[in-house]
Amino acid sequence: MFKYGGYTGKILRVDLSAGTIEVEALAEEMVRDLIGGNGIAARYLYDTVPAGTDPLSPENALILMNGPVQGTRVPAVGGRTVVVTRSPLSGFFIDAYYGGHFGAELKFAGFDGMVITGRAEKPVMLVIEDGDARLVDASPYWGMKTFVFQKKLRSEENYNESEITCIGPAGENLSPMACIISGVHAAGRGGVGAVMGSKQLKAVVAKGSGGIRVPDMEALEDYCDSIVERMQANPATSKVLPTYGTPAIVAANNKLGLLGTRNYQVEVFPNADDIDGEALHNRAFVKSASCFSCPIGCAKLFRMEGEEYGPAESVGPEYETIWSYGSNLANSDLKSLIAADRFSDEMGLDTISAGSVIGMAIEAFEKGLITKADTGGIELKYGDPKLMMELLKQIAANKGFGKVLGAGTREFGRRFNAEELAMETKGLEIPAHSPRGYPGMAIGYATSNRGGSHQDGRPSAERGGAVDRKQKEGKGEYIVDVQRMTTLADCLVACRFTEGIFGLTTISEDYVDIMKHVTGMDYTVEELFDVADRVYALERAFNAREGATRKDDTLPHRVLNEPIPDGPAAGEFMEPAVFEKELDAYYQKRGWDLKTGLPTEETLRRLKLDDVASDLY
Amino acid sequence: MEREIISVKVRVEGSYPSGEVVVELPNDATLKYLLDKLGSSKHRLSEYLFDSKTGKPAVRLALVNDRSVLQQDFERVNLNDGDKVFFILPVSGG
Repeated sequence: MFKYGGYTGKILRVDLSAGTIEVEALAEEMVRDLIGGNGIAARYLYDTVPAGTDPLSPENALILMNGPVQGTRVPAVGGRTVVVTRSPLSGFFIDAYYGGHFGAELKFAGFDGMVITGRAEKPVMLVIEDGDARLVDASPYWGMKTFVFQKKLRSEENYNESEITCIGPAGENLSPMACIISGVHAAGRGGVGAVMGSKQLKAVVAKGSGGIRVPDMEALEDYCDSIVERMQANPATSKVLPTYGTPAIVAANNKLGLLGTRNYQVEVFPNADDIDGEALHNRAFVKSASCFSCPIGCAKLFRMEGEEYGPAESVGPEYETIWSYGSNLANSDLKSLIAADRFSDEMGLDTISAGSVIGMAIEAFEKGLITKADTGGIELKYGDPKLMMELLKQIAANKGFGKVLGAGTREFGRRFNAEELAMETKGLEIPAHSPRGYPGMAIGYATSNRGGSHQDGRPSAERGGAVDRKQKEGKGEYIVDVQRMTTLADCLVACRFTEGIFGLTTISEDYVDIMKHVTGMDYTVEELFDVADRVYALERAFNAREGATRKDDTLPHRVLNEPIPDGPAAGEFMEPAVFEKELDAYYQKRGWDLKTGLPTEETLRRLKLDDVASDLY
Repeated sequence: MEREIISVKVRVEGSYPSGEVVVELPNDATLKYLLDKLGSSKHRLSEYLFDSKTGKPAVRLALVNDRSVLQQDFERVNLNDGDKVFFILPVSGG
């Protein structure tokens, strides 16, 4: 029996080239130091994938990991899973998360996670069931869209009660924007689906009948009840998200003048009313759905009649996709947003990166940086949902102009001398939270180890007024604490919607309580800071081996040089001198070197990362 | 002649079915007065504005005619007849 509650204590090591599967014991010291989820996965990635490994080669590792809380009743964390690998889009560390039920089922099946390397000779799926794991021929399923595949598999007797994590054609076609799908949930970012496709791994399927051992089930139940009570008292988690889901925030962001439009050239979308949460709710809402153990039910099934863009029925679009396929492309056709969301999920495509690169390409076309000779004869223009659908098909196929787009905004910029239009950091497209209007979020984007993600730094406190969004001084230090919170939440594989309950800006005592009730481990908040700092330093060290330095902690040209031209936030941007000053403060607070942007040897050794210190120094 | 009663239009993010409501206030009312009034009168918007367990305001930011006002300044901002107030909740994309 594993020493700590919440864990199975077992990790699967799968070598698809050799066709072997081994069960490895989870090291207790690793658990104490890194907790789980992204923390433990980061350690496995660092130890397994040598510097310079081609992300789509057999030597790269695809790591799926649980934290201690998956499978428990702790709200909004129970069914989630993290995928960690070296990104084919950015070339750096990537961690991508998905909700649903898979994480709980994997735990019930007896495993905390898996490290998958190699490449199968033919398509396979990894089937995990009650302590056993085997590789099964998936050739009949190769080429299937994600929903068709999952439905087909569930129709078979062996898998009708299984939870499925899979790729669609975009992953099979090795698009660097391919995601991983489980049910209707996506591990969206960084091309994790392409890594899975490169291994000829169609799916991981889990079914289990086991339970979760915790120190005191009654105490945990009481604690979970108290968290649910707090969620039910909070309007965001009891009213807004259950009713509208994340589309609720479109209207306010547009009112703030911070809804990226036309590739962030402007940040007010005149037609936002046509695609906001109210419009979706009134015109397309069918029903809500929840992840395992979550009382919020933020997932919304939307449906509209007519199939001029394909089936307009989808769980989504979420806020990010309303931005990426909506305002970012000046597209106010609500039906096309639902259809494009559905198409992206079925093909297994990251909607944030895909929408961002299409928006950039249209701007480049309008400015004469590319022509029809580059686009395969297609005229690019904003506000054209049929064009959007066509380009999404091409990106998913990873052919022709779609392959050029799918390589991402950084590569697109290099290819067409259009770097100044690329809205990315470290090669990962930034999402829908304005880096010009939210300076803390901007520093979060710049310093995120995974690149342009709103999941390391967070926009919530600035957007909601918990901190003054217009104040730039101090935001470097501020975002360190926010990232500590997000990093720890990622070790637990917790949904970000817990932040409104557990705290928006730093690690709170709630995390101490969760660890105590689920695992029996006693941490102080300060010790949890160390865990978070250890994990973040480990990710950064992985990137350092791939050549990352301070120069990579930067922001898009537009953010540093072009003030928002009009609207309520007119004039706002991140002045380069202010940014560099705050970046210095950020590094100082973390104990990182100001010149290199890397953890100092002293910091690494303080965090008990002596082997990493020896690697870097 | 200065009006003794003013009307302001109020919305709360995510409360769309409740829509925009018109609230009458004394002509020297501040934003804080408006928030307190909505809470104390158990107005239908109050469940969006306050934590029902602690009774504390859940909103920390408002737009008054599209101008941002942080919670600490609610008491310093006087409202005028015809003002549009939009309260924003700390929700964001997941």
